[in-house]
Amino acid sequence: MSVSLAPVAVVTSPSRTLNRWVSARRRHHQGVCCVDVAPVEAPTMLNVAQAIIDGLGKNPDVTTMKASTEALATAWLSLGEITDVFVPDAQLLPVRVIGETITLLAQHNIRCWLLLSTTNTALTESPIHPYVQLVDGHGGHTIGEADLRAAFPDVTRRQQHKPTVRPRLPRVDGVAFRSACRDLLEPDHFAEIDGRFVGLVRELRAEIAAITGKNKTRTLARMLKARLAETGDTDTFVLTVRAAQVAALTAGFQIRVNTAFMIGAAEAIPRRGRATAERWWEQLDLYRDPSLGAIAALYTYGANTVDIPTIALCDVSAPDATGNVTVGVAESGVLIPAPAGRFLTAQVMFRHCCGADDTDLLFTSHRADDVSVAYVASQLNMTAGDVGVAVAFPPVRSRQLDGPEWLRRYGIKIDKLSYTPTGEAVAS
Amino acid sequence: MSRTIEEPGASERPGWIRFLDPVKVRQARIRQGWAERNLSGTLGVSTQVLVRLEHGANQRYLTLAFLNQLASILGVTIAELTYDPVAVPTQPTADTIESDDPATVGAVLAQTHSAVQLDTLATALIWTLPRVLLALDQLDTLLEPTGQRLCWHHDTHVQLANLPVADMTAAVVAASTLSEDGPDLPEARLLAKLATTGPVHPHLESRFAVMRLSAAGFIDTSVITGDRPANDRGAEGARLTELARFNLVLD
Repeated sequence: MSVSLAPVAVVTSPSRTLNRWVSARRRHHQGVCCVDVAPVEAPTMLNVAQAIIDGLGKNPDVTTMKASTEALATAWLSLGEITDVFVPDAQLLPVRVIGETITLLAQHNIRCWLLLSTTNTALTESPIHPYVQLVDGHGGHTIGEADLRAAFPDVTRRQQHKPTVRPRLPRVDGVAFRSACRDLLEPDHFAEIDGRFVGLVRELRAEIAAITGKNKTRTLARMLKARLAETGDTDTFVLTVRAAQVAALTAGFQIRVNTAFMIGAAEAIPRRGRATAERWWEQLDLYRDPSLGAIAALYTYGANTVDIPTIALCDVSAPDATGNVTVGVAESGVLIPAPAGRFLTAQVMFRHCCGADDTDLLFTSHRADDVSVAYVASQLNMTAGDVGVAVAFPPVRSRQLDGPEWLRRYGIKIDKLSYTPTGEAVAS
Repeated sequence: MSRTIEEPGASERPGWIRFLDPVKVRQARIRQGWAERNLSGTLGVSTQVLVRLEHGANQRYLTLAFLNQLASILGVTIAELTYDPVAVPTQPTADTIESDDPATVGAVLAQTHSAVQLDTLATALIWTLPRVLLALDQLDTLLEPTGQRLCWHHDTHVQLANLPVADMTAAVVAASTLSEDGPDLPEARLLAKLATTGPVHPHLESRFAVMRLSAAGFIDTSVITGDRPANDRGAEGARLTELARFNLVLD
């Protein structure tokens, strides 16, 4: 939207409808934020920071740390998601505060739109004149309400196409899964499922064939865990397990599944594949503190609870071109995709704003003390109660479960078929 | 269920089966002036047996000789002691059953889970014994396709029971068990062998695995020749069926 980052003064007549219009802009333009400072006797940058956090959609009712509001506002703005900030009734704030606000926003490449309402048609005699001068001093210009409305028109979003509700897949074992699908599903549904199933079986066969070294069963379990953890819904989970059963059977392994157990666990136990479908990261964005989202992201993508308190600021990489963040945890790297990685980026910026340097820890208490494993666990449990996002199945363990143990929670067990490929086959 | 008595020559007239009508027996006895005690003594049975006969019970143990003796003493033919042909309950079919009686008696049996005495059943329902028997016959007919039948104990007690598993049902059971629980280790080994190395001789495998997979339609053993493998590499062996190949080899 912005051609340059210079602030813009919007001179309007007092109007409630304009304020409502401004508040609603975020629904039409995601890069827009309305900073509506609560009326106080002597507004300061603290009030502006609080208004920024509120404008970003943070929920003031969820649990918060006693963290610096200015640092939090700076941390969230540093993500680069906001391009334009509206300040309605800016004439009610001191000119000094407005000047600091313009400077703060410009540091994060955000354009400030000051909405100055006045009944005086003569601008030079109006109380808003000092604000207009301030904007001019920052290289900005003045426009009217019509120009503002033209710059941010309503955007009609295309209604998202709802996928057709399909009947669930048959709950039969892998050895009979394909034929059960053929017999029970509609032809077009079967064609779609069969294509995915056959493709998965072939992929898994290739992966299993490539397993080398000792303890192949554990390696297979880890491989299967990695695949299953990414599945978003129960049917995809079931499809992957059934494909793995067929692929493993012809590769010398038997994957035994307690179907009822698996279905129940797939519905109940959190796994990272469900994050998108259940909008975890949007829900965690309601917290004003990025630390909860950051801890949830680290745990979801495989960091051990016991290692999270030891992560230093320098262990968190800057986001790459796609927004992914890599975190060095316990001498290994955890790749965190963009929707979750932004919490880590915001947390790093927050800690820097609080005066921490690169060698300091990523997470501290509000008294700047080191946090414990119990603290991390409590933060993971807290999100379930606050915003309904359970990223960890209680009780939270200090270490993530390895492949076979993880599979066992889903009623899945892998056995090796000892003599399969070289059996006593009768030649035909 | 053989609670009926066939007249001589009944086998020549299929379906012409009659119940001994207890009312006619009683009427004939009274008409001839026999007291129960005297008649039972003449017949050589206890009074209790005769009383039960006149109430419709104990018919299962009647012999033709006994019936002949009874009819001659009472001065009637056996046919005159049985139900009228019109009223004779013929073997019902599912299409001809209209009464609610089978459902009623079935509900009672389903609730009790144990053998119920016919007299108790009749008393509880305030039905005559013939009506109970007719309802049970009809219920038996209705239950047959569901895999349940009535099980009789000495013609006096009845309860619901499952039918012995037929061959076709066994295949369905095997297939459904395999679908639900998956193969066990020997079955998985056999399937894996067949899927990766081709036909194998079933004598070298777990007999139960072969039977179950065969019943479930996953392996075909019909082409096997010879009783023993005898290291006969050239012999035919068990092989995966089309169904199994579709599921496992993805043909």
